[in-house]
Amino acid sequence: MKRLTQLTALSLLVAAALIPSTTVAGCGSSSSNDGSANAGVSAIVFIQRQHTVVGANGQVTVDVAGGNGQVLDYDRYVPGGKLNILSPPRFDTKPVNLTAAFPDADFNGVDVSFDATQAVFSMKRDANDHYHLYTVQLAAASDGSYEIHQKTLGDYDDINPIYIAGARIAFTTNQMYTQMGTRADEYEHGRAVTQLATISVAGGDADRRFASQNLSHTVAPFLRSDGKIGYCRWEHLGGVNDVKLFAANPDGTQMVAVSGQHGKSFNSLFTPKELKPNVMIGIATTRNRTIHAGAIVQIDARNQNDPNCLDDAADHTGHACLDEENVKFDVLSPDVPTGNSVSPVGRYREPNLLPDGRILVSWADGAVNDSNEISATPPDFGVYIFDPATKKNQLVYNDSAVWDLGAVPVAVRKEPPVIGDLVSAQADKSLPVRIGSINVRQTSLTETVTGAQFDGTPLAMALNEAVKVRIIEGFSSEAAKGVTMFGLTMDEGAAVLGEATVYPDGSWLANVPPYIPMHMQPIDKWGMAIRNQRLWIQGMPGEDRRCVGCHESRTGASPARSGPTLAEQAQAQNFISQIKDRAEYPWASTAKYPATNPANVMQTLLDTKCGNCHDGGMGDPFAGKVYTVTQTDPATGMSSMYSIPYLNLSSTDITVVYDRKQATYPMSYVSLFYPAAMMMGMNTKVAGEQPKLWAVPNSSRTSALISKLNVKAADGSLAFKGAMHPEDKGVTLTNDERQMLIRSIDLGGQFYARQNTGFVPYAQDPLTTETH
Amino acid sequence: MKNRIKFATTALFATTLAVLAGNDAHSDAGTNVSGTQSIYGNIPSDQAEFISTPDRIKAVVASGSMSAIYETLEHGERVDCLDCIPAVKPLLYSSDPHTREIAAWWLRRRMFGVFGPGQPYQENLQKLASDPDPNIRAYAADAVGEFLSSAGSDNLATAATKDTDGMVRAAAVKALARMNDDGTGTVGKAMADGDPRVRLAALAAAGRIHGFAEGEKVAPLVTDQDPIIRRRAAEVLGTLHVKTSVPQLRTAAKSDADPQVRAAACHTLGRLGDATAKADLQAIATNDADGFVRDMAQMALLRL
Repeated sequence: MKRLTQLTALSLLVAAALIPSTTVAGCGSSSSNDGSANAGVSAIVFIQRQHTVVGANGQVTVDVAGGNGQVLDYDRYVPGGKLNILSPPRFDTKPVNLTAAFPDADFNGVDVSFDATQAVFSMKRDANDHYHLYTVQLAAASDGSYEIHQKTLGDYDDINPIYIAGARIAFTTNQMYTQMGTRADEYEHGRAVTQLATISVAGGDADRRFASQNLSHTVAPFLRSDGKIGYCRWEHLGGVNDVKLFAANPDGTQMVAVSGQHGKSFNSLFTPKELKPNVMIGIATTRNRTIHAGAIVQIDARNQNDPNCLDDAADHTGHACLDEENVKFDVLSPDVPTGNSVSPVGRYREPNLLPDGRILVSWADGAVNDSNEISATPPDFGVYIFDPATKKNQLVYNDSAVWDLGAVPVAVRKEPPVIGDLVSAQADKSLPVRIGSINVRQTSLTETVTGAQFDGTPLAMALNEAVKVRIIEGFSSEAAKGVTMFGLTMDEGAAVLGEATVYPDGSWLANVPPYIPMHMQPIDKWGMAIRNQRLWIQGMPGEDRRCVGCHESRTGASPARSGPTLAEQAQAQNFISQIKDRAEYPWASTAKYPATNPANVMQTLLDTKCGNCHDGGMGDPFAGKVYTVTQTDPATGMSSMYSIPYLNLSSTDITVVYDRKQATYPMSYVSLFYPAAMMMGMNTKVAGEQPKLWAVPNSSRTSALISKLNVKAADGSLAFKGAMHPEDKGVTLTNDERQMLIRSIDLGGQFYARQNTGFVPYAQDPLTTETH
Repeated sequence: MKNRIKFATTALFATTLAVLAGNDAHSDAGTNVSGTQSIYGNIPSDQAEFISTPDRIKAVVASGSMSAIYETLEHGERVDCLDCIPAVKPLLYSSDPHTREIAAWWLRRRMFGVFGPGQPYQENLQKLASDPDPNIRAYAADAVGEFLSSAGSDNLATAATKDTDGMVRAAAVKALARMNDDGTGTVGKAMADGDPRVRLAALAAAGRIHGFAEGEKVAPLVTDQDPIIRRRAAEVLGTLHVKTSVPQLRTAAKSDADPQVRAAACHTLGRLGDATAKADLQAIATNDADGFVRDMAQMALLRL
């Protein structure tokens, strides 16, 4: 096989990157094996993973993704894996098994050190073990053995290790930490999600450090040339449900979005590697059912408006070169589906970069999706070099009996600069995060806002009316016993940590708890959200996480100002409190778990202030007024009919159908939230007067209830036309009570909270009980 | 007693899906801000996850292909199919754990026909209590855990302590862990069960349940006859931060016959940060025959 020169190979790659994607798609080329290749390095390491087991009774079991049950593949275990070194990396070379002492092991991730003398890998030695991290010297000792050291251990799994600068290793772990303990998105069927962590190469677990938590998985960390850790994050926040790229400093601080929040034409990005600063290759696919395999995509997150950022040789210091809002995604293998359909040309997985810029990648021909497991024909991943110009694969190595994955060239590479700790390892883990904006009114978003004073108003204008920023903690159903949905809403559990004052210069500043996922809402003088942030943010203990604005342009000029902001002069507002004391708004107490903070129970408020007139009794103006919802089972034709009060704010239970599931809630909750919830596409038919959208989750300003109540600001102005209600009927609703209703709606309209489901904090949080 | 209002359920015969769609109540509902449409709304149609059909659910159940069953039921989350329930219900007792898991997952999302009197959930509780086949009782325990209804907690606690078969007791303990519920002390009691499967399940549960407060009951398992239990006990003592277990851990670190137990004990001694173990760890770091044990001892010393 003719060897490509480094220059030629790089030229091909660059040329491919320059070809418009439409042209590439039209060329009709396809992926295929184009013979063996010379990788241009002396060796590669890769892992081999088993997928087929023959039981004692002769029964064959094929397991490609934990029975297809995992959204993200991390705790699948099939014995018989290997960590191999292949030198030279050719199809006819016999690989050397570096882990021959562990015949029952499985593996999940490998990387090679900067000096190319050592590898770090994740291994589960047997069925009773967990995945943990080990290092192995790549040169054999005099006795022919390979020196292996264990770096982590414990009652949890550590996977996907990579070397980072400063002799540390980044990885992800499902170890429980923080008082929230296990985070387990219910779509993972109870499997605990993985979070970002680091250890030192020398000290292993003795230097174990955790980053902030996400609600769903963090996987596949990758090294950035600026020394940060890039990673893939499953984002599940209300209606958002995808996997995108983020980056953080090695100490877990300064988490930022890298790409995938805006403008991608596929659901998820997996297993990226950095090609050059802010340019990556990765896998574009859907979130599940593809074994993380899909099309190879080039991700260009450079600031295209700054020539310096496009000059690889330039010093980028002082330039804002990451532009996550305007990322260019170029699919390099256009014939490979980015969904989960059967592929006509196979799928790619876990790309890496050879020193000359070529793409080393695992590829399997055929469908590479669920059908492989169904038909007991597991995909055959082998290691190839992908040529972006020809769209063809050149074989490096393939053992057809196993998956050959995670190939890494054994080559010296440049170590990025060490990013010093912004938060020391010894820092008090209870120290707050300081978050805020210089000017919350600054935004690059082009959305519009409607409701109350706004009618298609550009967000940039609407933000001028922001007087506070509401900071909301999120939690998943693992925090609420017996809850798989939080009510008639797709939103997760929520607690208001506080509402920070926006000063005349647009600044705000608050101290909030570290580690936990949060999102924010700028609110107007009536307390109603102007926008609902759909991205989780986090901070580390003692970290200062101030932004310029409210999703301001990351690449534009910062606002000119001198001296501290007004918020800084006033000092940060303190929103630190115990979980039990945080402002949650459970709709009602449950029999088994009475609300721990009765003052915030919505039904109590309604019973006290609204029940006299809206209980369906004699004095109720809507007494007897109902609409009927009929749902028909398309298979059997059987219909179920539910009669729902037009507006009844009593605590009487009623059974309804939401998200194709029967549920019983108080009439008040159903009356208010069901009209908006019916937009779920449930094959429902409504008879009777169409109900008003009394309460629209995340949008109090478009909720008819709030419009009817009306809200008076401190300056005496009203949010809506018309009189205040129920004051017009001689009943006074205090401003705090109005704000309870507004917050409940803006948070997402959850019925359940930690405070009415018997939540017990995790008492053994290693952050507070161990020395790190 | 709750004044529960459930209005008449009538049987009609649907004409076609198209007609139903034409009657869809949300056609005039304006912007969807909270529903499933918004989850997939920004994704091209060919990217959206496909939805199983009732016919496919019934067909794959009949086929017995566990992978097809898993795929079809998970993609059938939003498929209403009353007559699929009798077909899926037997999968709760499949020999394949993935099939059992997804069957319970799918069933617990049904709006009709699962949690009512005489329906699968109650039938399952009955099987847990009295089915003559211990495999079925164990699978029933799995299902109770996966149904995630706290109503089953007492049933699991009873099974975990009183069932005559260790496999069933272990499954019940595992199910309690799935529900993040210690069954009012059941998990702690299971530490002393005579069956190693139960003790192992109890250790796994203890490390996971938020409110588990009986860490001292783990310490005796460091000297269990079963090396896997000793290893897991040493790990869980670290997770639970049982500082009173240092003497047992020091002994295990120095003299357990199994190197994985010694390694786990060293690691936990480091997590507990008790300086009284320092001399032992120094000796182990130098002298233990197993390299991984020496690794863990050295690591623990860094934490003291």
